[in-house]
This record gives sequence, structure tokens and C-alpha cells, in this order.
Amino acid sequence: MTHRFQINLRGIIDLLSNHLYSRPEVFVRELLQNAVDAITARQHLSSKHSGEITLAVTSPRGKPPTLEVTDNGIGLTEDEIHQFLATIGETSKRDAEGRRTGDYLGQFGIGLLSCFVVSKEIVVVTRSVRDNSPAVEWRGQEDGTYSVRTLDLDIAPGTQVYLSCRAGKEELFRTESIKDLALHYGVLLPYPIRVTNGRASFVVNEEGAPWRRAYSGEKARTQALLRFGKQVFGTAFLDAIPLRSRAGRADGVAFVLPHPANLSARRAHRVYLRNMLLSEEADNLLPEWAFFVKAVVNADDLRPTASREGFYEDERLEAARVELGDCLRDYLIHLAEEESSRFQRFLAVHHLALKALAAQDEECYRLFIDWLPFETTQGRQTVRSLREPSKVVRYVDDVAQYHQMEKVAAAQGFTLVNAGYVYEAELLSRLPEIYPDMEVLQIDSAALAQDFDELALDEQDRIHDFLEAATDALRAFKCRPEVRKFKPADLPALFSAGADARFFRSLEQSKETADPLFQGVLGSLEAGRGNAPQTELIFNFDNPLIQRLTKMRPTSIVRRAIEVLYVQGLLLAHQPLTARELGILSQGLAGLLDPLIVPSEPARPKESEL
Amino acid sequence: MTDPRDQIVDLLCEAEGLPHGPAKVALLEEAVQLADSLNDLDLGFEARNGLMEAANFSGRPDIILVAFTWCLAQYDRDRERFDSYDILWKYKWVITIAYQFPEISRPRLEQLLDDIDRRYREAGSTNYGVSLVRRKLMVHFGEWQKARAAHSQFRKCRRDFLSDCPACVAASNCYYFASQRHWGRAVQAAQPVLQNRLTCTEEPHRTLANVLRPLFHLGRLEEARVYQRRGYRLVGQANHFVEQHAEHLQFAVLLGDMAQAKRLLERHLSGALQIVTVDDRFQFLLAGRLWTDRLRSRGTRKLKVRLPKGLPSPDADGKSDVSALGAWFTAQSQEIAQRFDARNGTNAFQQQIDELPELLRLALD
Repeated sequence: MTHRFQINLRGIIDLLSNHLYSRPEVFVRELLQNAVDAITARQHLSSKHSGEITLAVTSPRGKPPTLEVTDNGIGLTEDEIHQFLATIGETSKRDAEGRRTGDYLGQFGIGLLSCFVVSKEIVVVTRSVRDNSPAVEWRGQEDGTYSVRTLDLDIAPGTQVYLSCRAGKEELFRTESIKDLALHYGVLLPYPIRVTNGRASFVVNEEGAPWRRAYSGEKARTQALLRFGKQVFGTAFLDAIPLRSRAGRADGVAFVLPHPANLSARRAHRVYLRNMLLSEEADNLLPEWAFFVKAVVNADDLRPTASREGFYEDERLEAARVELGDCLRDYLIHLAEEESSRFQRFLAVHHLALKALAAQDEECYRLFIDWLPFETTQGRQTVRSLREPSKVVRYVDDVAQYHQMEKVAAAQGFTLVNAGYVYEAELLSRLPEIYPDMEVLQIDSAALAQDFDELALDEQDRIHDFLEAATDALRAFKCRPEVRKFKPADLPALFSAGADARFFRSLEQSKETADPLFQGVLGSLEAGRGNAPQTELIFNFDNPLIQRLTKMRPTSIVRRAIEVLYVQGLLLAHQPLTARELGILSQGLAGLLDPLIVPSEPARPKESEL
Repeated sequence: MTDPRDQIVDLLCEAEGLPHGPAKVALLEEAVQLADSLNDLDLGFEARNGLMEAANFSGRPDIILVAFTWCLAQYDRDRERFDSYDILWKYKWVITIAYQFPEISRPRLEQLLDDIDRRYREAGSTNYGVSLVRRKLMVHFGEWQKARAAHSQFRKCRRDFLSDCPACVAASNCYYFASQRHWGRAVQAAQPVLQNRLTCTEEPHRTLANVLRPLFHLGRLEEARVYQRRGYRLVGQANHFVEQHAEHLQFAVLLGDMAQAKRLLERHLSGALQIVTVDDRFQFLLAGRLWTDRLRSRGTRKLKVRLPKGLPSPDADGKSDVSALGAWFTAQSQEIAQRFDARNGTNAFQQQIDELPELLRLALD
């Protein structure tokens, strides 16, 4: 024979209040959901039945406040009341997806149990819509005992639930709190939710979903949606975009954030399932690139996740995401084509989002690429302003390298685009697909140096000895010297290292600290890369100090000056120094000063360790 | 004057706000450089930790080897000062990264395995994490018996604080069974990830691609198509999922969807040629070779295709010769296979090349 577990109701209530329901105020959601389910069930019997839910608050003097929730739904018979309690044990965990779809009665019971969190006693008076059902009263205590009796009352079919406030929960029973909570959970419900206290009575969802209403025009619609956005999120948004998707039967509105959005910030959209609030933190409803909006969406046909934080990732959600994304995309296309001033305003805040979209969608790329702004050595410029004066666009795809080159490029009057951030290099390199006569070049500092002025023949003669000495001095650092003319003239030397060379510098530095095992690993890695890419030190012929050095005989003083210029170049490029380079700073300085301090002493021999 | 330390913290914060990718790596490298130029070991350690995370999810594992070496050395010098957890956790990455560079010798890889084993024991860890690393390494070597031994060792261990997240373990099991050609078990191992019951930063991204071939062999094509669509959305944008791009390309070829295969090849070949992890590149080259073989068997001798520099150039009409492309893919993949097989002392890579005709016979029209 089969046995049933004895349910310890007190234990279940503790479980519910401590685990299932993160916040006590969810009892309002549960009561609303019970009422909605009951009304839906009645509408299955007679589709014309129009639902109504009333939450009546009383606050009598000297006694705890009470709440009475009434619906005109299907109601319960006495048998069904016994049944819902019997089935609590079986349905007290929600099904895998957290839906309340299973057994209606069991769900009713679970919803009711959450009320014990705020009330020691629950009274239900209900009358089933079935023929000849009498009114029934159920009175349940938190210790698990309950009583059921039929009432000789001629009431309309439906259900009333009475709660009496637990000490300490008074805040939740204030009329204002109940109004706010009913609005919060049920604002989208298609029939009225009334909140009353004495003679005062309000319908909290009088207007229903703002995007489903009729408006006198687009402008009125947008303004009403923006007011709704302000009310829900407390933010004055830039714009409101209606959303609709056949997949998942979803509709709603996306609000354009008034500030630049952080690309990696968590998206948190407010989502409703069949018009009841599901989550305020759904993150997978819109495409990745749509990080510039915050959305409110209802879906009648998507599955919630077990944790009820959003929708379950399945094919239908994916299809809905595509359709909702299309709404945003069409909006942007419309702005770009028809409303250029609003588009500019949008761009000023959300160019990053537009870059993400353009990188992923070919049509959007064509439409938006000209408008997208980039950081350049001539200030911020759009792609159009970059490509109009010149058929060549030069970009650097590495932020660190861009900053290394920026000052010199600017002084040279050379337009260089910083394309180091996400999507930027990809966007620029695809330009020739649309403008076939354009040339897009990715350059590094070595390529920049190619554009520095070469020395004339006689000048080359003059620096010959200096260059020899520099080659000799820098060989140990795997650095190649060059002499060119460039601006600004007060910069004696420019250290230039591509991303590869930087990698090797840090590899050397790590190797210096490592144990033999890891020295071996890094050594192999280094050897595997073939010839280490050299760094370059480009001396500026126009710089007075370099001029003087090139005129001197290549003594050890010149050598030390070269080494110090090298270290200075490293520091200007924010390169950390290896132990050997640190040594130069002290030794090199001493070496420069030695002859001045003790003029009679002969110059020290070359550093053998270099 | 502003404290340069604030500047480092600013850089770390700025990086925090960026998605993984070269820009984030560059900012964190700058933070490391600054910390080092101040000789601030703690900030240097912190910045490198961020750098390793970013590099791991941006296709720059070589950076991790370098940064990790520095961190481990500092940690060994002053164990009280630095957090051991980060070091031990990332050591697992280091080994699975190190074997992807054929220039690192097999004895050295085995020394690394001994070293991590010793350190995990000292930290009181079960063998769970290390045996997974060992299993992966042995699969790479093509040492099947040793891989199975590591697998049965792994099955005996309890999870602990140094174990990979459950999603990654499921993914790793799927990968392992697929390497053994146990297609059904591979798909079964992947189920929790496929159903989104387990997720993490890189799952289900990888597994949705890695189950395609097992499902193809099992003839479960409808299911595979669903995962393909879902999976490509997750990996299509990021350059470091080269191995997954290869799986998607191979799957499109096997299904006979040549239009999609061409799009995938055009889109991801240059990324595959740039990636520093050579065995990921190898997988993509194999898929490329399969694509050209399939084209030829369908009678396509020339076609227009956008290719990166360095590949055989197209003729005057802008069309590329399919045989020439196939020869190029073969030569490139042979070269990598030789390097790995020489290092590993096995012929596991050459075998993958040799199996291509057999796979091609299974391809659908």
C-alpha cells in the first residue's frame, strides 16, 4: 500500500519564506497569480467572462490591518479544497522550469502558503462556478491545522482570501504598499486590479500596457512610453522603441539609455510572462549588440528558467531575439535615413553600440559606417571626414602603440586613427568593400618611421660614426638604431616596439625571475618564434642634443649617452626596465659624470657585461 | 601630481569595463608595465592576474605563459604575500597552453605535469584537477593508453576547491570521448551543457561546436543543426574560438552546405592563420582541406573566394584554383603535423590528416 508523507506545514512555511521567496512582498504576486489563474480557468468555460481583482485593505484602530483579495474566477468546491492541501506535498517544488502550469489546485495551495509569511491565519471563502456549489470557508493556521465548513451564503462565484497582518509586517499592509506591489506585478494585466481602503478606491492598472494603447499620433505615443519608462526605471530615456515578435508572442518597448552603456555590463531587462512580472533581470532577451537599451517585454509563449531570472535559452527565444533585434535595427535605419538630427544625438551617446551592430550586420555596415566616429591624431573624426580628403586611411590596432606614436604623428601632421578598441580595426579594414578606391593600411611605429624624412647624403656621412657606435651599444638590447628627421624637435629619440617586440621584452623580464623549469619553457617559446623582433630607437637629427653627439668623436661618453637615451626612450614609452637596463641608469650616469669629477682619470674600459 | 598607482588602478577599472579582446589585453599590459616600472610587486601581481584572464579569453595564451612565470616566481619567493589560489588555478591553464606550442619539448611538458602534481598535493587537493589536465595532454600526444589511465584516475577523485567548474568538466569529458570515437558517450557527456543546465564563460560555446561531429557520426542531423545555429551565434564573433570555427566549417562541408562553408572559410581563415596556438590552426587547416576536397569531388575546379594574403593568388578573372588551394592547405597542415609528431614522439597528427578521405566519404550531398 502507498503512504503519504505527513506534511509539517510549519516547516514548509519556513522553507518558503527562507528559500523560495526571497522577499516577503511576493505574497502579493502569489495572490495575484492565483486570481489570474482562476479567472483564466473561468474564461476557458465562458470566453466572454471579464475578470476583475480587488485588493481591499482595512486599517482598524488598535487591531492589526487586514487584506482581502477577491477575484471573480472559477472558485473552488469543498472537494477541491481538500485536494489542494493534499497535493501541496507533490507540487511544492515547481516543475523544472519553475512554471505554475502543473496542477492548478496544487499551485493554488502553494501560492496561498506564501501568505503565512505575513499572516498567522488565512481564511478563504470561495464558491465554485459549477452548478449548485455552496460557498465554502477554509480556515488555515500556521501550525498546519485547518477547518473547512460550508456556508449558507448566496455569494457570486469566485474566491476571497483574508489575511491578518503579522506583527512587524505592517509596512506591507499599507494601502500605498499594496498599490505599488499590485502595479509592480500586474500592470500589464488586461482586466482591472482594484485597490480599496474604506471608501477610497483605485484601479492600479487602469491604462494597461502603455504600448498597447491607441494614441493620437507617434509623438503622443513616444511621450507616453517615455513617461512609462521614467515611472518604471526612474530614468529619463532618450527615446522609446516599440518591440514586437511573433516568435514567443512577445511585445513591449525598448528605452534608449541616456548615457553611454558599458559593453560588458550586465543587461537587465524587465520581463513579464503572460502579463505577470517574471523578472527584472532578464539578460538574454535582446541581441548582444543591443546594450544601449533597457526593455520591458511581455511574452505569452516563452519558457521561464528554473530560477525565474529570465527566459530559457531555446530555439523559440532565439527566434524572438532575432525579431526583437530587427525592431531595434529598423528603428536605427529609420533614424539614419529620415531623422538626421535625432540620429546625431543618438550617435553622440551610443556610437559604440552602433559599431558593434555594424560589425555584425552587413546592411547596417553600409548604412552606418560613414557616421561612425574614431579617435585620430586630428581629433575625433567620422569615417566620412576621414575618407573625403584622402584615399588612404592609416590605423593602429593597438592602443598602447597608438599612444606611443600619437604625439609624433600629430607633430608630423599625419592623420592616424586609433582602432585599438573592439570592432574598430575590423570596421576600418572592410572599407574597401564599399569604397573600392580606398586604401586602408594598418601601420605600426616602424611603418610610421618610414614616413619620417630621410637624411641627405652629406648628412648621412656626418652621422656615420655615431650610427656605428649606437649599433654597437644597442646590439645587446636587440635594438636597432636609426637616424631620421622628425617633429617635435625637442624629442631626441623615439623608442618603437611593435606588439611582438613588447611581448619579447616582457618574456625576457619574466625569464630573469623564473626558476629553471619555467626558464626552459619561456626559452623554448622564445626560440620557437625565430628571430626576436627587434625594437628600434630612432634618433632625431633635428634635435640639438643629437646634433652635438653626432659631431663628437665616438668615445665612451657618446656610448653612455646613447645608452641613457635608450633608457629614456623606454621610460617615455612606459616600458618596464630589465635589471640590465636599470643598471645603465646608474652606471651610465656615473660614466657620464666621471670624467667631469676626476678629469685626470682615464675613461673606464667598456662594460664587459654589455 | 597624481599618484601613478592611481593610474594603474584606473587602467584596471577601464579594462574591467571592456569585453575580452585585444583592447582589454593592451590596457592590462600597460597596467603591468606601469606597475613594473614602479617596482610595485602587489600591483604587478594583480594586473597580471587580470591580464591572464583577458588573454585567456582573447586568444593570446602566449601572454599567459609569460605573465604566469613572473607570478609563480614572485609567489615562490614570498608565499605569504601572494594568493596561492590564483596561482594554482591558473597552473592548469598553463599546461594546457604549453602543449600547444610544438617548440616546448615533451620532457619539459612532463616536468610541468610533475610540478603541478606536487604543488596540488602540497595544497591538499585531490587529484581531480590534475588528472583532467593529464588526460587532455595524453589525448594531445595520442598516448591513448595513458589517456585512459588518467581518465580512470579522474573518475576515482572527488571534486575540490581546485576543480574546474562542472560545465568545463562536462565539456572536457565530451572532448575526451570524441577523441576516443565514442560518439554516443561524447554526446551524453555534453548533455548538461547542451541543455543549459551548466554554463560558464566559455560554455556552451565550445561544446555546441564540439558535439557536431559526434552527432554527425550518429546520424542525428536535426539535433546537430539546432546546436550549430545556437553555437555559431556564440563563437562567430570572437577570433579566439578557432577550433570551434574549424568544427563549424567541417560540419557545413559534411552536410554539403557549400555556400555556408565558403562563408565560414572567408570569415575565419585569416584569424586561424594568425592565432598563436598552432594546433587550433591545424584543425582549421584540416577543415579547409576537407572543403577543397569536397569541392573537387563535386566537380568545382575554380571559384571566387576572398582569401587572406599568402595564399595562392587568383587568376585574371579573380578565381582561385581549388587544387592549388587544397595543396596549400595540405602543405601547411603537414608542416604542423610533423612538428607536433616529432615533439610528441607519436603520429597522432599525421593520422588526422590520413583520416580525411574516410571522413570525406561520409559527406552528404
